[in-house]
Amino acid sequence: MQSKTSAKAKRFFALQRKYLSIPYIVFLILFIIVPILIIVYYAFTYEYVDEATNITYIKVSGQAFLNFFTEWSKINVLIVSLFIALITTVICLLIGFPLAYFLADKKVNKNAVLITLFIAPMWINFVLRTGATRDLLTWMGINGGTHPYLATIIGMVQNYLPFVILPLYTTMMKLDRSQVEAAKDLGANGVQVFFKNIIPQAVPGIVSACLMTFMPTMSSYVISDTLSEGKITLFGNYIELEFTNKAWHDGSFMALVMLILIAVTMVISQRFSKDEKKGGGSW
Amino acid sequence: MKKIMKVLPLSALILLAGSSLTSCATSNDGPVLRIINSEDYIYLNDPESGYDAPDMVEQFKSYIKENYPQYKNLQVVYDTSDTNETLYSELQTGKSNYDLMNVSDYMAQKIVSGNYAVPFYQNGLTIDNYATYASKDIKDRLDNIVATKKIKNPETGKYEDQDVYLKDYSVGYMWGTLGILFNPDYPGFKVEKEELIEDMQSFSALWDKKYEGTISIKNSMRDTYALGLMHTFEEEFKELKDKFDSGEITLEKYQEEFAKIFNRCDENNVAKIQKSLEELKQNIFGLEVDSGKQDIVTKKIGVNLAWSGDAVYSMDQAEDETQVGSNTSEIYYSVPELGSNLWFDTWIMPNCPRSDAQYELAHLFLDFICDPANAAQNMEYTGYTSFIAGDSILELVRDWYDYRTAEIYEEEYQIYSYNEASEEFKAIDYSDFLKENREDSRQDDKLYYFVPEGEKEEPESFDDLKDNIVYKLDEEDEPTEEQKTYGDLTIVNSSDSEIEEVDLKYFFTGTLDEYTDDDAIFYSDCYLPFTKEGSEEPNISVGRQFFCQYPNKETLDRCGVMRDYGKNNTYVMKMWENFKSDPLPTWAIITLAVFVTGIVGLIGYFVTNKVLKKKALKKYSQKN
Repeated sequence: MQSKTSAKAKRFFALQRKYLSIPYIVFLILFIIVPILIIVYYAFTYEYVDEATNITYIKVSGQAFLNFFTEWSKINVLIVSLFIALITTVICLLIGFPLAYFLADKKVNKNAVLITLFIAPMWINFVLRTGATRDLLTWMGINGGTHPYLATIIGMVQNYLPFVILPLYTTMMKLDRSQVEAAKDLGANGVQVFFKNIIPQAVPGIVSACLMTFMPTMSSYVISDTLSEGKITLFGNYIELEFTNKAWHDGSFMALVMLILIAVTMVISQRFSKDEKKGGGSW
Repeated sequence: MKKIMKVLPLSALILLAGSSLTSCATSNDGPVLRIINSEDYIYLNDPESGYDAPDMVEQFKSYIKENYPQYKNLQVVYDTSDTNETLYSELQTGKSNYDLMNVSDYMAQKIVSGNYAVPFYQNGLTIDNYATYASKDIKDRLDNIVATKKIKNPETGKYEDQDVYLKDYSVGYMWGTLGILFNPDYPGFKVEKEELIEDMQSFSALWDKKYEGTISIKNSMRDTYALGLMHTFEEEFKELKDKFDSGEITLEKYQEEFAKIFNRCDENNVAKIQKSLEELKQNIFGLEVDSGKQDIVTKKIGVNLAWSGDAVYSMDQAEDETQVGSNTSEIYYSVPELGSNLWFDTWIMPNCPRSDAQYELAHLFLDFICDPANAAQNMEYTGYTSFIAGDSILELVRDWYDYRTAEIYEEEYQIYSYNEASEEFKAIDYSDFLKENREDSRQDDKLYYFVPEGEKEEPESFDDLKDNIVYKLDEEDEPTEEQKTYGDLTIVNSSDSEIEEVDLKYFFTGTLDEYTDDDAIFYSDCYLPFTKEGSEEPNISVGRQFFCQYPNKETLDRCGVMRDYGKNNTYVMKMWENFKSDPLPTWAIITLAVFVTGIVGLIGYFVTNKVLKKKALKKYSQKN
């Protein structure tokens, strides 16, 4: 008798638990799936004007696709964005990697206060921070008017550094220090230890750090707009420009290109973490 | 997937419930007037800043309640929008349901061309205040914009072009110019103030290497296009102006020719303009939409392409000690000699279903805000210049800028009244001064002296006062040589700024009730007369707040209205995209190349290493 009721209760609760996913599914459909479908719809249709009646109509067409690959300005923006993203990622890694290594050392960072300090900027809205950075850079004499690239890259690094430090820090925490010691004991010099031991161990962290920096940098537009004084147009800026110019179809196609790029990087990064079978990077 | 299918109907239910909630928001039987306007573009109640009267929309509601009992349950939906383009696309998709919409001139043209607007003044309705009090000159400029509609010919069933004037489709609201805002106190200038003022009379100065890195221009297609156009065809504009100045052509002909050049936007000309804009990009500090008006105050930049309304804002900020500390500066605004863009913001009525009551209420609303007293309130709050002239506006302008009544007395001067008969003098308040000085109560034997506040200690006798006099109000005395007379104000010892006579008859004529046309002459130091080398007549195209808000007729005549680009819009858009996306500089290309080869090399190295290792392993295992 008792077991029967408990089974019933179990079933009841099981049912309940499933419904817990409803909010997320509704959210997913409304704010992720539907917008993507809208983007796809606009990317593969185009607006035409009937010369005779002056009425605009929308037709399925590959015009936006064609425009993207034939207009130099769009390809150019892609190259510029790739450049800024690449430089930002590399600089972030160069700064973040040693920092994360030392922060993960319990001797240096006894109660994780230091890491909090480095992550703290993330808690302030980045638009506000960018505005402040603009004033700071002007005060230093590196303003967007004279050094647009430098100012933008500094702003990007400042903004995305925490996103690099955190995943690297988590992998470094798991880093097997005895391996490093063993390598040293067996006669490897510092450089060898670093390249043959520490880096391979930290690959998942590096990959996810790159992921957290590279794509957002390409698509960001507030930072480049504010710090380069509107002189550098990134992929994100360009999409915004297309939308303000009412070229929704071209803009949507570019957004789609962005989505595809993100998907590709995700796939690549997943391969990496599978290879290493560590999974520490999925921060 | 199965699980999701089960959940789906439920979420659909939630969605339905949500949508039904929103649809029952309005349940009142009164008519609803729906208005959409730009943000901060109408008088709002704001007691903290001294605006005590209720919102303009509330005032309108009470006005209707009193005068039109049939609409006493009136409701007003008042929304704000961000850009003209958003409004247009909402009209196109049929999402927009408004009775009145505030858009810029070119957008009004585009909307009317696209058949998305209906005309005003049907069913015998009128907007009397607009007809009476709107400045004729400005109104004509807006009314004469032509929109080309496609209309179906009922006989042939074919669509035909039909030209309509904006006259019937638009009711003007605010207007202004595009010009150059510059701060002579900017530390980066290598030139003297006089030279700066001279240079800024032309848009081409922005291309000058002298000003490299000091300029910011608008990150907006139309304004920067106008700038590029003025530079590219400078020679032609100059030729045209010379012809006009020498009297060879009439003003009408001049404006017609000007409009022709100013509205060039075919493929060839756009390409030329792109070229000159790309040159400009090398010379500027940056592009901005909103930050420029603050940057020029903080002296981050020295020159800014600006709209007249923003220019007033910057000037006020730069003078306000509470904002910038003791680093106040005098910023100037110039509408270049060869002309510039004249813009209007105007009300149109979108083409969407509406009742007769709504149609009438829209007219009533416009009539209400075109009442000079209300227009003055709007102007005071927004800082933009209204289409409306009339007594209230004249008084407002006098209050703001005219030296005879200007509030400046109150802030900067201590006023003393001096009675010649009794040799009595005493300090008086500004309000008392105004009271004593009304036409009807003026005492002829009284003189007024304006002494800069804090310049000297309290004068003990009239002789002490004499040394410090800056302005003396006196009708009877004959001005001596160093004195200047302006209306009923005699200026003695005018040490600081030159006071100019500003003739705004063109704006006020025909709209004044109590005042005469001669009252539309103002005395202000906001205009900066400037004599160019070689010419005798001083030319005014630089000035301060007053000039921004009310340029003189000569300046206005030189300006043109940039129309909608129509079919050529794609060329201009492409030009703008190209202009915005710069190719990488050489150093960046080299770095990129190095990085890419480096990464490819690294990957290659790892891959070959792995392959070699595998091979070695294979060999090793085969051996064993």
